[in-house]
Amino acid sequence: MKRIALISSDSALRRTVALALECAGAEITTDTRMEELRTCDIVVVIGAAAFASGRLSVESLRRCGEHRPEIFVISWQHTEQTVLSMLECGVDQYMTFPVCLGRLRIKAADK
Amino acid sequence: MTEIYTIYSAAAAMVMILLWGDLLRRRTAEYVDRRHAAPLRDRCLRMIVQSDGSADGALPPIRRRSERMRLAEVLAELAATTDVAARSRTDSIVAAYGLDRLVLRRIRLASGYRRALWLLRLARLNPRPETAQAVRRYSSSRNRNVRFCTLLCAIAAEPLRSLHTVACWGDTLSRFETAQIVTLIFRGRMPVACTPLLTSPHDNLRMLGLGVVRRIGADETFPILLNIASSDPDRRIAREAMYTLCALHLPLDCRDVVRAMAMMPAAERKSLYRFMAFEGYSVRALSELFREQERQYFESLVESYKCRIPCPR
Repeated sequence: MKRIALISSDSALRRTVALALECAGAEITTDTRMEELRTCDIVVVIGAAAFASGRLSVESLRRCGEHRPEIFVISWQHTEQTVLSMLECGVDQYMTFPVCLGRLRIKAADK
Repeated sequence: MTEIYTIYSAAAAMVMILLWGDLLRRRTAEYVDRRHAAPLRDRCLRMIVQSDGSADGALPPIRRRSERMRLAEVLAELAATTDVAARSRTDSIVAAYGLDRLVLRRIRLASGYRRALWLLRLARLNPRPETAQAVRRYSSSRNRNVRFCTLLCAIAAEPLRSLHTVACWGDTLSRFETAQIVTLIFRGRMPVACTPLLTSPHDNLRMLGLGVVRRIGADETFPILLNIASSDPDRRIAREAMYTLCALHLPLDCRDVVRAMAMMPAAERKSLYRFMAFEGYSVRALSELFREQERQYFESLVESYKCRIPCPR
């Protein structure tokens, strides 16, 4: 069973995404401690602010030489510059709001 | 003297009673939410999210009006942030539980900002043209938010006529209203061309065009944006075009931008410099624009936005 961590300050959005991913048979955790995040298969970050402010970075989430966990970002930012910056930083999937939860489930199941 | 003490004591007692009363009201509301509203919200969320994709799936019966109202709220909230509520699924849920009639009733009974909130929820529930017609009378409300949310209902009901609806709206759109309309239009997956909007004679459509350009990052509209910034008859739209240029990180060291900035009052220039610094423009990139002392001001802004980049050990 996949282990997916959710990072979001919005409890309603967090609950919605968690429900959607539970349908894919995943175990959801909202523990944001770095040790816990590193043990997950996928980390879903809702909002790009954590990366933009430097509070969160791909290097801090992953151990040296490993490509785990996979990082998904769901954000309201639609501009090409933001999307490319995120992908160049090492984010695996960047999705924009309004997010298609079915597509998110499929991508989480594929990884 | 005794009377003064009595008055002070009475006033202090009154304040304490009001504070405790407010605290009690909040605790009661939290308790009610935890016991009743939150589980109901969760149940509605599960019903919608976990049945996504099965447009023909059976819907459980919900008889209580309060539960159906909660379902309408959750569905509207979901529609704002997710694509889970495909049109067919939303329509089937709304039709099965009569949510549009319930929401219309709530709109009729509410007033002011509550009415605007329910109109906004109705707009997110994919209303039919007849439903939007039923709320059309609120387009002449004294409350601007009510008028705007009525506009959103009209756009959501007939997306193909959205541009005409926006052009005919009597008020001038603010930046936030423009963003909401752009979001609603893009939810409807309606193709929108930027250039005809930007060159439209209607102020609201030009504002909408600027919103679309910001949303999709349409760099190819650079010449049109420069033209609007330097020569639009509406100074508000010209200023908005300047902000759009900055948001797209386009080059600003050109004659049209200098001309546009020259027409701005000092306060607007300072506000624009703050936005430019936030968007990451350097001092050198804007050297053509500065008047005396503005360069120092912009340098201080740039310094304040710099942050330490953590280096891996």
